Amino acid sequence: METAEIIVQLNTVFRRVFENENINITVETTAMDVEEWDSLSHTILMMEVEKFFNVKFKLKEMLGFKNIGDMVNTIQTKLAGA
Amino acid sequence: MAFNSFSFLLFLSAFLLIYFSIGSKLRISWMLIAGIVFYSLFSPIGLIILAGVIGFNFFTGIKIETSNKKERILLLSILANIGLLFVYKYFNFFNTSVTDLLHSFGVANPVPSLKLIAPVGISYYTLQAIGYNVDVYNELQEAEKKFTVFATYFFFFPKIAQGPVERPRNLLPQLHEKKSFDYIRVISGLKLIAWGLFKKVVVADRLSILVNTVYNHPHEYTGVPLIVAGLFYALQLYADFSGYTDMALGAAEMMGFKLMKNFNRPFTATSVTDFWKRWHISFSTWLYEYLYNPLSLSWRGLGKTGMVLAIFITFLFSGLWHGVGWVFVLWGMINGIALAYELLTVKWRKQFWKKFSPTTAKTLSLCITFMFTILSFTFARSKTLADAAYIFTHLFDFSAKSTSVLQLGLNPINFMVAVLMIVFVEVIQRYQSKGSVREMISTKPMALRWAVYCIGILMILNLGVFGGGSFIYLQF
Repeated sequence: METAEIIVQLNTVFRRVFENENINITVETTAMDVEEWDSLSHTILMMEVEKFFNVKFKLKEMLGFKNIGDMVNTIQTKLAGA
Repeated sequence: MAFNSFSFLLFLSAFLLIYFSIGSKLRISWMLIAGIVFYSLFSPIGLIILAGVIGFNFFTGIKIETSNKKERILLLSILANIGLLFVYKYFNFFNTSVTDLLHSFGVANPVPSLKLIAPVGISYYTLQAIGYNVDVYNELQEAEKKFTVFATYFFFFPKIAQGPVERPRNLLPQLHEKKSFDYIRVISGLKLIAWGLFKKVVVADRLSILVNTVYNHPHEYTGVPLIVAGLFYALQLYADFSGYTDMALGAAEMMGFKLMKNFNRPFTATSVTDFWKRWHISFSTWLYEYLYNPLSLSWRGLGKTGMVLAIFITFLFSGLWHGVGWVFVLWGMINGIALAYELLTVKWRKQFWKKFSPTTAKTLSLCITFMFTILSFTFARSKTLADAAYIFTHLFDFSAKSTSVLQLGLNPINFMVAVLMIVFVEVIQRYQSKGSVREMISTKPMALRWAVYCIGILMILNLGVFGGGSFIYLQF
């Protein structure tokens, strides 16, 4: 799956989890850029992303996400290997 | 050597004079020497322990990066750092609790208590050491190869005694940069030190007079004195700790370093979750990064139950980190309950506040959070659980003839000054939230600028309560 396509789909997960239709994520987006994305909602977001893409992140992968780009790359790698 | 002492000003002046006189290659060594001297004035024996911690973590960091047994070394480093903290801070507390428990069954505890005094800053530097090893393991940070740089990271005197709880990725790269003298930056740092000193000696130490009067003998009071002391303690703690932080950040800024921000107007928080994003930020983000987040993500299979468990473990740790005793355990648990409640009722609360106008909802949320904060701090300030229980059951007891708040150590003028200074700090902070007040003042005409500086200095000298003691968070 292409990066742009993953971002579009990821955006739908973000909008649903944070109940905000105005969210538009990019590879550069971090938690600082999304008001609702806080320490408590982060775990819920990770659960929903895993469910949506049917992938399983390792703890080390999740702790290493610096921005959406890192998350997209990991999803891409996992989908390619599936 | 406390930041609010004349000797610290002399120390800082002498340090900076040499710091900017010597070549940039020697500066790291000079910072390390100054850090060692500064720390040895607090705790000569602690110096040996800290040196051991630095040597051990320097070694583990490199090993985590290069070894194929990364997990084992990481686990060893975490256990060693936590173990050290446990032995010095918590062993006697748990041992005494076991003794009391066994005593109730008529059994003696064979394990004796340890005669150890926790070295200054141990709660701060062990967290930083754990964070460093975890970051190296997660490949968020390269292991530091220069021992002097690594040792200076720990011995950096502006933050050694009570934080901020720095991250290696923030401070280590700065220690590799060349620093030059910058007049504007040095003066800016000096102004921040002055503002921090103002908050400490004019506000915190003045409020502490009333707070100490009540909390040293809480059973002698009911009603209004207990309410006012609770309110004043929350404000005292904030002025004390944020004052210290400003002084630490100011001293670092003078040297050319930027330390982590620790506060963001915490009493404007509209939820307990929001409060912990604004209070002691370097510590609360450490808890999030190295404790809550790994636990919560590991237990995500349990859904919200896993998140709630992670919250409770995090706040149990937070409570015990802040102090040794059951009052701190309870304080941590109360905060844990509040955060768990907020997590589980996000949607319900969103719907509930929609019944009000945004301004009313914000104001009510702010008031509720502020009251919760004051009440939760009551636990942290009470010496025993019995004191805390007495205070809570007598807060609204107006039946007995209450002592006037003007008979609690502050005469009417001093009480009025205390209230005015709280308002003054809040007004300045409102401006700070819109931009740097220091920069704003520096753009004004010279006469006005100097008038502000002179008034500030006169206020510190005339309204300051000197000899008010060390900073509260130093004990943690």
